[in-house]
Amino acid sequence: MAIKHSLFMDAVSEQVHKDGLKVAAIFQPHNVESAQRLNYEQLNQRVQQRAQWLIAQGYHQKNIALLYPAGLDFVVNFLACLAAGVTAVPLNLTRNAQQLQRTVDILDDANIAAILTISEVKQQLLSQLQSLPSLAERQWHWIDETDQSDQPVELPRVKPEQLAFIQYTSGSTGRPKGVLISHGNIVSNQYMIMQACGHQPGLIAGGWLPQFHDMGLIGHMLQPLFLGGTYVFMPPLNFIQRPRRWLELISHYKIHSSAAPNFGYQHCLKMIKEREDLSKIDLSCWKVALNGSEPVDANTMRAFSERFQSCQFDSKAFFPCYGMAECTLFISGGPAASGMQTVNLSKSDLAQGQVVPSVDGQDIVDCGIAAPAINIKIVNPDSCLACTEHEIGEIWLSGDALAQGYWNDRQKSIETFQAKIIGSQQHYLRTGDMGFLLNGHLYVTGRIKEMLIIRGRNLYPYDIERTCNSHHFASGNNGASVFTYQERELTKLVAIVEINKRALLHENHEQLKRDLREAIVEQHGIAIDQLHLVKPGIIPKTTSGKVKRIACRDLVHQL
Amino acid sequence: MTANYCKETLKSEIVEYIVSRLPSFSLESDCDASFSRLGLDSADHVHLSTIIEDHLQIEVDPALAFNYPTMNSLFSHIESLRMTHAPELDEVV
Repeated sequence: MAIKHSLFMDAVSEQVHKDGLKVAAIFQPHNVESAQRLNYEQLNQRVQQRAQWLIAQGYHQKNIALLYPAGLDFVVNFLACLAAGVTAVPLNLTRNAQQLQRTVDILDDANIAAILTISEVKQQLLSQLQSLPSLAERQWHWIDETDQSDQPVELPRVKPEQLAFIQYTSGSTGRPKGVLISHGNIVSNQYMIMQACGHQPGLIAGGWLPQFHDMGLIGHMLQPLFLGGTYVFMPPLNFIQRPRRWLELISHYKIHSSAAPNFGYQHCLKMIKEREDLSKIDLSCWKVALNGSEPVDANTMRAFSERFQSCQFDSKAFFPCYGMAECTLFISGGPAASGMQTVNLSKSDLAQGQVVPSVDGQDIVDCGIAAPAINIKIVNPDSCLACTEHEIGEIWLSGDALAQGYWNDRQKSIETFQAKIIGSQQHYLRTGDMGFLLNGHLYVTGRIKEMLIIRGRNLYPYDIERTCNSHHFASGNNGASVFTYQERELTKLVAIVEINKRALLHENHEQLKRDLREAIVEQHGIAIDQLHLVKPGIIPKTTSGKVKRIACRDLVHQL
Repeated sequence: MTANYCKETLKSEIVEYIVSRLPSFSLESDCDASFSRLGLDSADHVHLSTIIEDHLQIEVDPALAFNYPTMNSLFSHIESLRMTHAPELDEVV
């Protein structure tokens, strides 16, 4: 496909004219028989109707929240917003009060004109909202499937520079940040993904990723629709409940491209039992297995390749990648079919911020080649001076796919999107991630905010936590937390490790601690100042199972 | 195997899982406390539905433990599931 579309919906219209009967989206809520389909003609008809209604109601260029359970309604309504030039704000349907408060914070922050949903969800949300005293009186405009008319309305021509949607990032702390994505950003990122992954027209892509999240939205949903292909998906919770369903979905619909964060691959390894019969699963169709959006782990990918080789999974399909909402989604990855590659670096030099190849050091996963439209610079985050070739620094980006800034936060937008390297006038996006470039490939070492600086060394907590979790008495399940605290002028390194109950009762604790300390020194060359062994379930975690390291600092005082 | 025995096995499997996550959990004092209040995260909630599914051999909504968020409400719901799926479940129990 030559570069020709300037708007996403132009690509969809082209497919409607070419072959309107081709299946555009398949949603499978339960078993194969439950699958719901929309062909391009049906999809386009529903999109146009909804878009015209939104225009008739005066929502052009207004912000509208999309609160949908996983399903085809979201596809229709999101595309309708694109077609009408209404700014979509996709949000997560929440189940608990704390998350509901976050949703309300976003509705307020984004100055939402109306909430698009289905009547069933509207009832459920209304009763949830009323249960929170501070919100009982609040009024929102709701739009559901019953709101429609057949009055034809002409749609305004949308311009590429116009705002298309606001992607709220899932950062767990602080005020929610809404990333501004233009219509031009969407299209330019679609071409970047297509090129890097080697996706062809008619692509079948999808999986279980939530539709309100950038990777599910831009990668799974929009990419196949942009290429006249088929978007196949299932509810995320069905994957969590039984991860083999993801593999079954891929096998059944011959999905070519499917993405997950590292956790998704790990979940398969953990939950799919050795004794399960996988003989009907054929993963030979799966040519692009993207792994991104959280630190990618070489061991997980190796284990996954080995475990599912019997289902014809090709390890060359692994496609570690790097991306973020601030850049629409995709930044680097590939080339396709090269599998997971690593570079081995000296640990001591790594801790000094230097890239020095080694043979018995630490493996860092190659996150691929930067998309041609993106210019990557490695910059010292403190001095804002460009790093030399073998220095690790913050990853800075410039290029077309860069988002327009944050909604309603000028200060943060300038700090993040308009950073300047000393001696240059070019604006860069600060990613907050540390990494380096080697032979044109990007390597990510960790988040700046999480980096521990101890005795002049730069360490990432998750590297040490991984070592703790791999101890044979560790309870697993992210059951380790590594962090620092200040004792007078000294920075101390602490590890809390959850040990399985049986070992905690019957094993010698001193011996256990010695084993762990030894493993950490061996792997990371650093001694732990304080090591606590605790029962499973003690370490505070977020709803998605990530360790809350700051809360762990308070925990130490109670241990 | 009687239906009652089956229920107890399922209950003990669920309790075993919750205790593995929250060592202080006790069926006696916590049967009306919500799972999230006790400290189970969303993945744990979904895992409860997996345990129930494995046990009953019928498809169970992954959001079951969100909708019936205490031991008591969950089990009274499982009882009603048993009623609607009686023919299928009789073969299981």
